[in-house]
Amino acid sequence: MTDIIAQLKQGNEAAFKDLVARWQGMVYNTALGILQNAADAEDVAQEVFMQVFESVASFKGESQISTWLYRITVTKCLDHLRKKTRKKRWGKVYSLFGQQNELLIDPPDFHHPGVQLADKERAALLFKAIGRLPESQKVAFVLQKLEGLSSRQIGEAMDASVSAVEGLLHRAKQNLREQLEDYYRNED
Amino acid sequence: MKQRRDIQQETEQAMRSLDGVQRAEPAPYFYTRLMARMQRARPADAWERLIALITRPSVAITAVVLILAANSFMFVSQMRHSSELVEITALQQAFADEYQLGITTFYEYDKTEP
Repeated sequence: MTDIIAQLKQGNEAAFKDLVARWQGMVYNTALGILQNAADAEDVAQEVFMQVFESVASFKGESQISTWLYRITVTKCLDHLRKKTRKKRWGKVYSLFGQQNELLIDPPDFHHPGVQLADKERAALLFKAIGRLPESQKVAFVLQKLEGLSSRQIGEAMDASVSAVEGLLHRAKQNLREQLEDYYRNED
Repeated sequence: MKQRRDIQQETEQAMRSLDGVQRAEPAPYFYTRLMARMQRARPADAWERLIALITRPSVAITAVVLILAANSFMFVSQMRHSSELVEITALQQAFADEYQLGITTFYEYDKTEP
């Protein structure tokens, strides 16, 4: 794996192509889980690899490539979400003054393509609840559920301790259960 | 209204709905699209890079603030200098009047003396 990094540092395009082919699924799947929008996830995945290409010289190899990629992906996704929230907020302010340039309607339910058909509706409901979680809880939960990472791996990707990650996951699950129970209670 | 047990059961099923989820892959030709974007994003030459740097709002605003600060500094220092100059000129004039330094020839001295 260090071979790829060494070749990338020399500007080898074939090495870059190899890296993209090997990690694109991981980066895209993580971005899709956090952003819950295929176009946004593709956009962020491209930005991640662009940053990898630009900053590979500063990668010292202290962590695994996957950890480095997860870190960049999470940072880019959170930046994207913040930008989107800011735009939405300004869109609401503009709409007060009659300038409706932004589409303010909430997006339709998100369906992850990897979910089994039998669980499709429940998963859509769960994703809706995930979307309402605080940032760090959302990232920890998505990395655990969609990427199957352990608490230690999540901690490395989020630059947090194992106990902090376990706390985040516990609170995330608690919040999700509360939201889902509320939904099912008021369903009828 | 649903029973409490049903609600809990539904909730747990929803919580488990992502178990065994397959990894999503980007649409085909991801690398081609990535390369196209990288080509677009790469500035063509040094001039474009310079223009991109100058037109950044943070750089432009900082430059304007620096120019305004330099202007203000020059204006204030000029004002102070000109008031000092007036004072010095007045003193020089008073000194010149006192000792009649304006008179350059003997004949003129005669004219002023009674």
